[in-house]
Amino acid sequence: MKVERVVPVIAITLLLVGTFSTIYVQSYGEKGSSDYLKINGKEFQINEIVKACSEKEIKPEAGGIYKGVLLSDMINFSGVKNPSGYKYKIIGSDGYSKTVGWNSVQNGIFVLEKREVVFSDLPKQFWVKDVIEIKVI
Amino acid sequence: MKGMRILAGIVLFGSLWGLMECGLGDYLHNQGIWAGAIMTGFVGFGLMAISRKIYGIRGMQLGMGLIAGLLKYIHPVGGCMLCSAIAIAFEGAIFEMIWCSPKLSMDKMSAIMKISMGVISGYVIYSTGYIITQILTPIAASAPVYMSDIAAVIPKILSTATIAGLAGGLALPAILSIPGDSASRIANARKEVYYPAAYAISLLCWIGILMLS
Repeated sequence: MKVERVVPVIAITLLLVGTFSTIYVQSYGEKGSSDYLKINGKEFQINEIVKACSEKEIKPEAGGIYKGVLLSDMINFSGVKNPSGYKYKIIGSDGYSKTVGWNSVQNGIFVLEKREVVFSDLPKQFWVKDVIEIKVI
Repeated sequence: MKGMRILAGIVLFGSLWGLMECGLGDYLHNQGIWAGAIMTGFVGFGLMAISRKIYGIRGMQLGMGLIAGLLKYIHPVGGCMLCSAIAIAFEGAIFEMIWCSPKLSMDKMSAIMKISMGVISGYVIYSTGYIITQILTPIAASAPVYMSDIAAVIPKILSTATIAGLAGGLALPAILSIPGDSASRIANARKEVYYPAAYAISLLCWIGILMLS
């Protein structure tokens, strides 16, 4: 088959894949609720978390200064027994997720404005925006 | 074409790319716009296509990506420096792979081919660079890599890559509309003009990056 025929077909296919992926990502995002956060399978009100957990300001290696609720306090508040024995999958509304160990959780905060999890010891790639769930695995 | 002339071209276009990533890229990132996709589709791919059009030399774009990636890494502001630097460095290599076929001559393309190759280049360079950085950044930072995390982010990557693809589809026909004689005039400029201009612009880019830091 001629290159002139194959190349436009590949381009259209990629754009279709992109369009369907966008629809999928958008539909995933609708599962989140702005007032609630799911931790360890239980839904908590953000206000409830803020009242129960302590706040901290951190200066991540990746730069900037961030203030938020301690991630380790949030995990403890959700009722996880022996938290150091698990890993934690942090999931954003667009499906972006990162799995971290307890050591990193202890260096992490939850920034309320952007619902973003920020770690002081990990690259920005590990920060998850618009968090909807923290799974204990 | 002489090696030193090509090397000066690699440094020049790599430095321009690095400066754009550090300035415009960080601005778009801070505005919450699809910085990565726009920068890859318009700027990264655009500069690589311009340099291929001007010099017609394979391998140059690999060097450009490495220089731009390095400049992004040493610029300690904005988004994820390490992930961006890794992605940019690999974008040059991905461009080389896409455009390695001798059947894909930039000078002999129909309008549909130009748009289609722009879409394919933008989409593939962005999505592959993103996936590579998802794997290599944790390794470089001594952090764990989980395949489930990479699998989960693929729909987002394929979705955002659409922007990069559309940007590439707009950029390539525009770049290839530059008359061939203008391109060859730059590549074959007198050495008394070419080298001082290339090094001066590169130096200005590096100073610009330091000032942005």
